[in-house]
Amino acid sequence: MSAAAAARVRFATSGSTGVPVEWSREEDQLDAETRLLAGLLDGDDLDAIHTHAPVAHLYGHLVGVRLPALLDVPVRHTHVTEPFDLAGARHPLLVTLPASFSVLARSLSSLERCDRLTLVFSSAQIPPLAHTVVAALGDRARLVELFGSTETGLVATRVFPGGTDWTLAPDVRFAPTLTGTGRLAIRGPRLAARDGWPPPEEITLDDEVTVLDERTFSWHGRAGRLVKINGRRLDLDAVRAALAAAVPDATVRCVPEPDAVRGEWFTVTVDRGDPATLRALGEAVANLPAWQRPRAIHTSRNP
Amino acid sequence: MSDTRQGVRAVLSALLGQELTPDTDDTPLLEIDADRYDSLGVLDCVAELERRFTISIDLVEDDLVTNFRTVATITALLDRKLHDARVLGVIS
Repeated sequence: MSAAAAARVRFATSGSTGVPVEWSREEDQLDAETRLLAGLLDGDDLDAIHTHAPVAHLYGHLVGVRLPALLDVPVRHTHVTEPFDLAGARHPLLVTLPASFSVLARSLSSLERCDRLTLVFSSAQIPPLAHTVVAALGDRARLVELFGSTETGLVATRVFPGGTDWTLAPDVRFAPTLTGTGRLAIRGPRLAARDGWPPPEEITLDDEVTVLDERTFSWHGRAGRLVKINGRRLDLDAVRAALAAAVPDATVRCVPEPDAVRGEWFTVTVDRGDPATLRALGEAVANLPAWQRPRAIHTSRNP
Repeated sequence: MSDTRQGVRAVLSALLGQELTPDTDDTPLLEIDADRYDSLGVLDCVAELERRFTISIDLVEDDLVTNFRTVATITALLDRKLHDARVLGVIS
């Protein structure tokens, strides 16, 4: 293995159809992103980092491993169903997932002794409960949302309380071809590479945006039928095709829905309610990986 | 058979997509469906029980691992909370 290859760190994405894709990033890219995050997340004032995010993914790795090392602050990794134990922390950073806000809303007493709180959230539809929790904490709390992906790293940020539009990270710019409304395409020095290939000059994401000015954009949704379930991308057309093959005489739909715990989820509707159809559909659902299964299956005359 | 226990069973039946019966009340829910009753499924259960019974689960005081293990342990937690709420006059 060459020195350059050894200095690369690999992260897998679920891929739009659930097939894992591996992306590698250079140490310099990870260092640069960690320093950016330190600036965005009140790094000069933090005295602890508490995280629900798994470190096997880029976001969890950066804020749960590299950021505490850079800032020389203690880090505690907590299972996502457990409240953060903030004893002794004056100004902690809370690294959150969609489900974190279900936990925080039911453990606000554990946050009472902190003078300030910085919360960070990344790469999924933020649950409405997040804003309720931050509002309940009052002036001492701010929530920083990170927009990005495993292949791009951090692309943009926004802060709650604040506006709804996104501001590009300082070292990111729009691709020259992106004007007005379209798929978000960006350039920057932190793009990841596929193995055996140099980093691309630019990456186009699944997100539909409108460019507002040189540094900001508004987000409209994801292109196609992609949802992010607990931060993992899933192509509902691929799921629908897999399920429809099991019940060729029925019409199947996958309907995306917001979800308080996962950010987004989906329900399956089918236009036939006979036992054979429901049994075959149930078996096809059971054959999906657990995280790709729907919330429920409903019968409908007009799916 | 308490109303609470029947309500808990109904919530879990809907969540797991299968009809739970009294003979599984003491069976760990993870053994019934580990995929659906994962950590996120437990949080789904908490939210649905709060809505159905008009109670609040405090994750600092009400440990999920011990209290949300079976229909019986969940029922015991809810019975305590509902009793406390009646004593305090929060519900009638």
